[in-house]
Amino acid sequence: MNSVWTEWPWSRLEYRQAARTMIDSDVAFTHPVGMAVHDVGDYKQGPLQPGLVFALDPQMWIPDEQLYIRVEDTVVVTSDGRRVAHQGMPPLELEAIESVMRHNA
Amino acid sequence: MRLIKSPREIELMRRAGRLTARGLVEGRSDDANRASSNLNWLPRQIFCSFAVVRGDPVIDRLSPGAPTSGTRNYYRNDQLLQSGDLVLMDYAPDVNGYTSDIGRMWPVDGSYSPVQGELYGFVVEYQKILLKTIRPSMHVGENRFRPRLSR
Repeated sequence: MNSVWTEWPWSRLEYRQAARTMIDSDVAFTHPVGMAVHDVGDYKQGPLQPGLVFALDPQMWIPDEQLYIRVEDTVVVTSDGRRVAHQGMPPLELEAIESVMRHNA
Repeated sequence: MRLIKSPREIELMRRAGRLTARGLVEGRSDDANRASSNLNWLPRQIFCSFAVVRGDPVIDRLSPGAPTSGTRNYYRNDQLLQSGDLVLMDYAPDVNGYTSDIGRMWPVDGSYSPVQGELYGFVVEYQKILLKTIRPSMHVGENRFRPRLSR
């Protein structure tokens, strides 16, 4: 992460600060998913277990420009790691999203 | 009991995720890349594509100065898309009682502007790092789940 952080070409200090605030924040970062989109249960205080399903939704605000940026995936903890519940669709990478838009235009 | 899912529950959530992903892609492909389109059309397209899917898509139009900018989830969905907008499609439909939550930001013009790429691109890179970090026995509440940054 540090290489991404130190080498990211921030064009404004405010953007860099917004990114740091996002990373340091405990709010709007993850929530359980199941029968409800914000499901019951507390998994933040104990070790992750296989079968646990939660969303990762880091969010960044830039109040001066009224900008709000987010991405969200639902993740299943497995015995040897994790799996994204929707298996790569829709794409996450920016280039892949632009490719989808070109092909469906 | 509801925190740890059975294989059957996980399969239902994977199915919800696959349908959600298809709905997002197909809804976008039909309308989201055309400026001056009404956002209300997108949920209808998703509903038409997947009759078994229930739920309320959240579609935000985000651009500097837009009336919906800074609104985390703009449920009214009655704004017209404009050139230069980023559209947040945050969608979590139900499939047989289970759901899967996915969010992506699409550039209305078909490609991200330099600033959009800078901001959304960083959030995506951060997400990729978080996804790689997750494994059994680790604690989400521990600092090591999230990276320590140099100043």
